[in-house]
Amino acid sequence: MVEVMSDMTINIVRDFSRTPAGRYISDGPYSGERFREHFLIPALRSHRRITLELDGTRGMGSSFLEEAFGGLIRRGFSAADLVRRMILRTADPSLIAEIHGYWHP
Amino acid sequence: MLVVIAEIDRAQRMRSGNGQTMRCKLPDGEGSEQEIVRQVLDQLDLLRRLDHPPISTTSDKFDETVRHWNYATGTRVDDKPGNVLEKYEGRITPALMTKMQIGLTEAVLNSVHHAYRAGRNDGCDCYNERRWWMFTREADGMLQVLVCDLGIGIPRSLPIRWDRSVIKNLRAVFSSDGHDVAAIKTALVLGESSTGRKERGKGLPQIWNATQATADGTVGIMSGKGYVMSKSTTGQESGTFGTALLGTLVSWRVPVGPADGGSDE
Repeated sequence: MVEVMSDMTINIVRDFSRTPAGRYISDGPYSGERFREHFLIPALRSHRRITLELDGTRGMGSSFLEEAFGGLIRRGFSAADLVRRMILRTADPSLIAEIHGYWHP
Repeated sequence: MLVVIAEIDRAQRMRSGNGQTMRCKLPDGEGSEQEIVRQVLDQLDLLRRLDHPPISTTSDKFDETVRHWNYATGTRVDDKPGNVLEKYEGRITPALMTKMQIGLTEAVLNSVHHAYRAGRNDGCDCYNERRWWMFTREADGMLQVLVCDLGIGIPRSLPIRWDRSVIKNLRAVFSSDGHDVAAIKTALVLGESSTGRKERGKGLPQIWNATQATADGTVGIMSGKGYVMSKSTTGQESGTFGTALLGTLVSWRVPVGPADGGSDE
């Protein structure tokens, strides 16, 4: 019950894949759609704030990122809510800019 | 060569179950060129698939230019493109590795998502499989990676993906280029402008920018009759072939460090 208000950390390499790639689940096992549906949305629904650690992958293409993060808007989350509740941790500022770009097209 | 292999592979998949057969006649002669052709066809498993007996040379005796060729094909991104690069970890700089990984997966995704949106107009029956093919080769301290599809090509896919008036205006910018070269250059600009950030363009620009992280890399895109190539050392060049490639071929050539560890950059 308290968990609804707790914080959560998702490390994409540890919890998902070192080689995230693809847009749709039909593209492969580590697609943006799968990451969004199986990790991001459940986390957003059950936790107050999510820290997302994005470093350490082999690289994330725009197809993966747009579907995972831009897809949150299409699934009903507001950009303001996402900016407030999802903390993006990465050494690559352009990655944060790209994800925010999908929330504020 | 990759496109030839891809066409044969596709034809084999199309004929599966329809009773047609494909035969292979190897080049005659004792010259090294003929022998290399024979070795390549054997290395790529093409002889076995065409029910041709293997050549007499065993694979461990194959020429150095043949032995390091690897081949993969698929219809999803899955792990294959990443696995291609995995063996070069530590021999390619991390920044280049990241860009190559992104470029490879976006090239494969472009093939799967956009290349097969319409008929190929090749005179064959409709065949809807969305497949990509890949070659890798290491030689002389350079890794060469090629990815191709046998789809409709960039010149035909552009009007399907983008507003025609935008394409018309952009093509006017490249009016001095041939039709298909202008289409490739237009696609590069459109992808870049779709994010508004040069360092993180979508799709094609991410393929194109893969070699930016190296001082000695080459990237090229062939589609239809056009090709556009960018070399870190000499800049961009483009041109038009006499015949069209029915599909799109992307190639990268990047430096790799010695196999005993360490990158050469």
